[in-house]
Amino acid sequence: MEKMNEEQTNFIDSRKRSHLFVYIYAILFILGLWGCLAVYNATVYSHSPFHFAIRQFIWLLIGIVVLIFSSRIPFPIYKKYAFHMGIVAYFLLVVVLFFGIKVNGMRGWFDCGAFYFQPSEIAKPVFILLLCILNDKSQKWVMHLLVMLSLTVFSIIPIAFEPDYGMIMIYAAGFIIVYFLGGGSSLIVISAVLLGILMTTVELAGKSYIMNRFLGFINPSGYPFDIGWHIMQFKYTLARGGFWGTSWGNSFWSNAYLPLAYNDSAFAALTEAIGFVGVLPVLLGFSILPYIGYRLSCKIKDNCAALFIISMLSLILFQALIHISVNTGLFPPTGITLPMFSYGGSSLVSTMFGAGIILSAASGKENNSSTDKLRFQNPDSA
Amino acid sequence: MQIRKFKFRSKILLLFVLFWTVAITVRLFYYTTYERNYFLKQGDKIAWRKGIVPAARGKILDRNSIPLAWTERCFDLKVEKKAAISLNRQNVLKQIEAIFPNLQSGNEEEGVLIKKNLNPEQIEKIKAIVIGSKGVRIVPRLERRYVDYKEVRKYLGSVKELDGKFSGVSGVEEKNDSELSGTDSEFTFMLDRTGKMIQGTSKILKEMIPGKDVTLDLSLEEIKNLNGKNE
Repeated sequence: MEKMNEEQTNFIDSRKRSHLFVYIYAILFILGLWGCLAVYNATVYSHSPFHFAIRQFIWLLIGIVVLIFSSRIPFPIYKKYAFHMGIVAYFLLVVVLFFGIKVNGMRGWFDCGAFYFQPSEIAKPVFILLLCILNDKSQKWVMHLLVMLSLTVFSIIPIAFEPDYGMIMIYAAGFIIVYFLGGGSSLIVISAVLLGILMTTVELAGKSYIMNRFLGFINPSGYPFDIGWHIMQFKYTLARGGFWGTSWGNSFWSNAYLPLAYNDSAFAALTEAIGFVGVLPVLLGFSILPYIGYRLSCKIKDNCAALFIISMLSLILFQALIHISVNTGLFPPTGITLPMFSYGGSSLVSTMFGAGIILSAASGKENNSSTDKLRFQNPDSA
Repeated sequence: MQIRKFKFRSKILLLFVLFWTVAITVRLFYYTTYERNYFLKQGDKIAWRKGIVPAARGKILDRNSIPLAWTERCFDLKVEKKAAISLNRQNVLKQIEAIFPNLQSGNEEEGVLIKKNLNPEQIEKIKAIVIGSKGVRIVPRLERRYVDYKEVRKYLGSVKELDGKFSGVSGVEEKNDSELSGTDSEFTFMLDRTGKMIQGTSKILKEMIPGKDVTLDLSLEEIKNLNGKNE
């Protein structure tokens, strides 16, 4: 039997990839629909139960269009124009400080009439892409660290003025993930984590409302009607859900007591509806993302593309795990949303945009002029 | 970027994710299953309330079925002193004083100004102000009424009121208290975090049985004469 030549193999691979991409579009759309259902469930007893769900659905449709469009752009184009995208994203991050609106004490949104737009969300995938490109280009470890760290600090500064501490955490995590996976010094990574904890502690001491959140987290039952209220409501809501859940549309506690059930507390609200058995697949689905990224990365020739895939998926997971940890009382409240499930158009579109770039990177349309590409081995053959 | 280092570090990341996921799963199981009952009870203490609807007290009738004692629903106007500053700012107090020139002071602890026993016309006049202002309320109340004869009232006795429920303390009211009282209705309901009742959560635990009317063996005239003879 004749062996297939390389062209035929590539053709079959690209057909398989096209089918895979359609499945991925469908899965993300279904996940987004589930998110709309979760938003509806969390607001079903409000004065207009469909208000948030319909808006989330509209954002989902926009997100799907962004996903399909962004996945069809070859990854080398992203690499070529990453810096330009970064400039536009940074411009928006700065402009929002002057012309944005304040919501819950944070000036981080543009009011576009019919909707709000959060530039720090959209800038996230661009930030990760730039980090991956810089990681690819820098050879000496000092320059490697300085350049990536400078980009991170530079990006965080306008976000710190909003101030959005949850988003700062995500951007910092993005830097650590890319730097660590990109081959950076482990000592630097550990130092960065410790420095982050130290700076957080200093910040805690300085801001009373953050200190209150922390105290409420440490001893919520000591302040059940005060600073520990939100943490206690998470526990009561999870208990309401139980093993099997109360079913969709019956989330009394989420609607009556749980603050921001459609946003910061989305996971707890979801647990009330579908129980432990229902949310476990959600948790596992998020947790498997880096593994998918790892498997995809191992098949990609381009270092930058490989690093972007696993880093972006890891960052989505990090955000999800932080949100879920807050909702299960493992972490103090941060305001971080659950990707695909929390209400928020900017977050949804940003996740879809990131997913689109991942698909583009995984499609294998590499830049053949790259001088330092390495071929990854298939992990099964290692 | 070295492949081996990348793969090794990716595995470290995956391991970290695995531990974190396990920790979350254990925590989730703890709240949803292991200690579920404890947290359900804690939540119920905050949310669920028991309410009582007092049974309507029965009437006392004479031999000829003339009502001697009955219960009426009255409406009082209450204006909270605490809200007085904001009400003043909005000229609401002036509007109220124009309709009711002599507002009384109520219980000093509550800090409430009241106008008792509003008639329907007065309720109509004040309704618009009540709807639009916090701190101004029309509060319903039950009141026990008797025929306007001192001797008869002495014979019938009196009641004391506690939380909207009347109980006889003297005379006929006390002697026939159990018959007149009836059985209160009990129900449970859920409050939301602002203290409002959540629609659809109320459950009746005990149905109300209204108090029975008591018919005396004497007529009104005989009762009047009865007290005169006793004296």
